[in-house]
Amino acid sequence: MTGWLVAAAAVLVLVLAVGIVASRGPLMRRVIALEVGGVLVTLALVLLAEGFDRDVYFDLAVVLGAMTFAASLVFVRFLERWL
Amino acid sequence: MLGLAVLVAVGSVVGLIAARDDLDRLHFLAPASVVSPVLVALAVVVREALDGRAIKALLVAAFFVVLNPILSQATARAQRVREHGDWRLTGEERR
Amino acid sequence: MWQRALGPWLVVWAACFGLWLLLTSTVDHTELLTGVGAATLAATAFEVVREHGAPRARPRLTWLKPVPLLPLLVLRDTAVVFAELGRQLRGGHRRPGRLQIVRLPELGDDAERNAGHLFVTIGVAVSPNTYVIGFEPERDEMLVHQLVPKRPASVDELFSL
Repeated sequence: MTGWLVAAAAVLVLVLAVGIVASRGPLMRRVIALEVGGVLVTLALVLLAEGFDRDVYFDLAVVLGAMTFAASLVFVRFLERWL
Repeated sequence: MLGLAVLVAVGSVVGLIAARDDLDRLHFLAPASVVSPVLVALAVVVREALDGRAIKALLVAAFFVVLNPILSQATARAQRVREHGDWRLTGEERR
Repeated sequence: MWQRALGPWLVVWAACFGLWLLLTSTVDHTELLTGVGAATLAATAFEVVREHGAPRARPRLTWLKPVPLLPLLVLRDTAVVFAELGRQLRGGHRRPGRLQIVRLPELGDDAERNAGHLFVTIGVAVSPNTYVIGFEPERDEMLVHQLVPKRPASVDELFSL
């Protein structure tokens, strides 16, 4: 098990913790947890890509990074104006 | 570098859980979004030199560095609007 | 009208195609053709949105002056934020973060103001201790939130060590 995979495992444990925060409590706290979760999952993908030596996971991480931002922004706009 | 990136991520998650209110909580999005991805990207560059993988890792880091501030602003505004009706300071808060 | 749009279209096309080349890291025939097509679509979409009333932005090169300081500011503020977290976890009194009003410098027209606001938003909030909430152009002010309050009087103070 390389350092990359150990780091990825640690980040995935954090994603679990953030997931618990995102599933309970006040709405805005859950939204912020979701945003942190998106970042951590992207990070985990980069670490796994390097750990498993797979180029395609890097492409996934790039797309997820952009999509995480777009999705969070749309959701937050809805919260501000309509929900 | 990887260890430091993970430690910063741990700190961000602890801050997310322990923060007093939502505006304080948002501050802990930045270390996870800015510091950790940059450290991981640098670790990839050190290992791979500037090949396709390193460029993609740097691109991910660049996305988060540039876009996280915009997301923080949007989230903070949404929180203020939901709580006070307007993001601007109320008369009482200005005093 | 299309002549006016051609310049920006070409710039965006070149940037998108450059990004495609960076991401694919190959000069294979098929990939290049696909990249040309994708860049064309992206540049056209960008130009259509721009022509239909997207906010204009005209940045100034001098605004990039604080950029070399940003890594140090990020490191410093990360330490400040985690030190505050550590203090609160050890049972210290929970100090709330603070909303602060910061005066903005004089900016020109709407295009320059839009670009200025974007630069300040990104530059300020890259470091964890401060983020921007909004701008009030009528008062030349912006509202920021700081976890550990420092009462910055101006934008320059936010970018200083």
